[in-house]
Amino acid sequence: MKQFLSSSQYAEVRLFLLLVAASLAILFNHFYHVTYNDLSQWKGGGMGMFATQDAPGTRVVSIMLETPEQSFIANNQALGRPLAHFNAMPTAENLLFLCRYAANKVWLPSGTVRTVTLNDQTLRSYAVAGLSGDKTSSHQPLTVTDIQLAAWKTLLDVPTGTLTRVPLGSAHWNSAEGCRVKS
Amino acid sequence: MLNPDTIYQRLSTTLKSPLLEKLCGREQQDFLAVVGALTLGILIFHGFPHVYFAIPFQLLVISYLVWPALLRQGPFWFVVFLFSTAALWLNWTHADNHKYLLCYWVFSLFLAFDNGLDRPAFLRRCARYLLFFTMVMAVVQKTLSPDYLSGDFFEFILMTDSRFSALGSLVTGMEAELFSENRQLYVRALDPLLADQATATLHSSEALHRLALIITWVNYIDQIAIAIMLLLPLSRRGEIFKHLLLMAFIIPVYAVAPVIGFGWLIIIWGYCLVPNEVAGLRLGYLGLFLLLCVYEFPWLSLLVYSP
Repeated sequence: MKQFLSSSQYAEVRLFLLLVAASLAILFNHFYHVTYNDLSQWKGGGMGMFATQDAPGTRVVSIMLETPEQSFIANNQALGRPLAHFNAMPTAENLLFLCRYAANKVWLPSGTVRTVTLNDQTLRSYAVAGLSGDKTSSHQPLTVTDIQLAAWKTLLDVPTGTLTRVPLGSAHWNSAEGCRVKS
Repeated sequence: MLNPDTIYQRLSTTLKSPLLEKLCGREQQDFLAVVGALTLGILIFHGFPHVYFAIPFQLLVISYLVWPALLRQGPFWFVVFLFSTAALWLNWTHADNHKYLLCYWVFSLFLAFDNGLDRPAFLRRCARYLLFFTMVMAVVQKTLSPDYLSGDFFEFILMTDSRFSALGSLVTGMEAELFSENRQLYVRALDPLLADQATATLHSSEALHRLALIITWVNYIDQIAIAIMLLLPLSRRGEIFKHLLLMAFIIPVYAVAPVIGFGWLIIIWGYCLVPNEVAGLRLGYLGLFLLLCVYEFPWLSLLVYSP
């Protein structure tokens, strides 16, 4: 062993084993989080892309902001890394982090309204709120009194062709109580 | 028709064109120059999309343009590795898997160029391990997955992923509009404003199911075969077959799912693994490197109208 660690004859093997050790350590970390924290098989260095439909893209977070005047739907893209982190590994801890992150941001009305057609062909509209970095946002901050986050994954039951929403948890913030997560 | 011996002879013959001979990498310095340049190409065009990597890497590329010999210096690859790791560390949950592989490969280059080793041999060993690791883990994940071996995953992808719709429509004869409708229904199910609305049923067909099963099993068996062949000591004919198998994996996979950075990395490893006796085969990998650029165009949609 001593000879293996010190001899120049084994230098190349030692360096190669460094690479093997690093890749295996990351792999074990991946499997640990897949097993215990719902990390997507697609992510975290585990080489599981194109192995299952449960990719981060199937995981959705809805963020609704309440102000004394009206409700807003948050532009999720503004939440960047914390949102991507939650979508890849939707734990209660990451949802709490995302909730706190959203609560600490200054939200601005983006001046646009999102309208969708419901299944009964009626319309539903919500004003959109963004962060200060958004190009479309105005400069008047919103007085947010309440934030609701709801997360789910949308999976397809292939034999029947039906789409199902699997809840991943929800979180609620208000200025009096702070963030609370419901798994 | 060419027999294997004739192919072997052609692949092992020194080429008349000095440029092609250099690209074959028969000489150590040519081999290292090509591998270094191709890796730099991946890092420039499909590197780490993080400011911690992008800014220092721009400075490194400019330094390389001033002093090209930098590409063969250990400290250069060490700095690239350092910033790659930082970018990966900060995005570890959502970085794509091939970014990890790229980081491992940059680490291998650092180790190779920073030490007085037989560099081509060391890089070959690392490339063999990383390719084996990638293929084996892909097979393991697919085996463990709840919806891969049944064909459900690829049927889902064919039904909802716009990159696969043209292929689905072309092979099964299903109307392109049905795929478009599937995508719209799927996007509606993902919409936060419609979270309280019932979801719809997507369109499929028996032919689409069969296609999904074929893609599933061809991909699975191909990856197993490549992993096994990387382990076995092969005859020269076996070596040629192994590389043809790897090329046969790259050509269709990246035509449909053009994850170019990943494809280029596998091509570099394939290039490294070609024995010097059949160095002509390395030109095939360089051709694939260029082919993947062509793949970035939505060429399948030229054959089928996809709304």
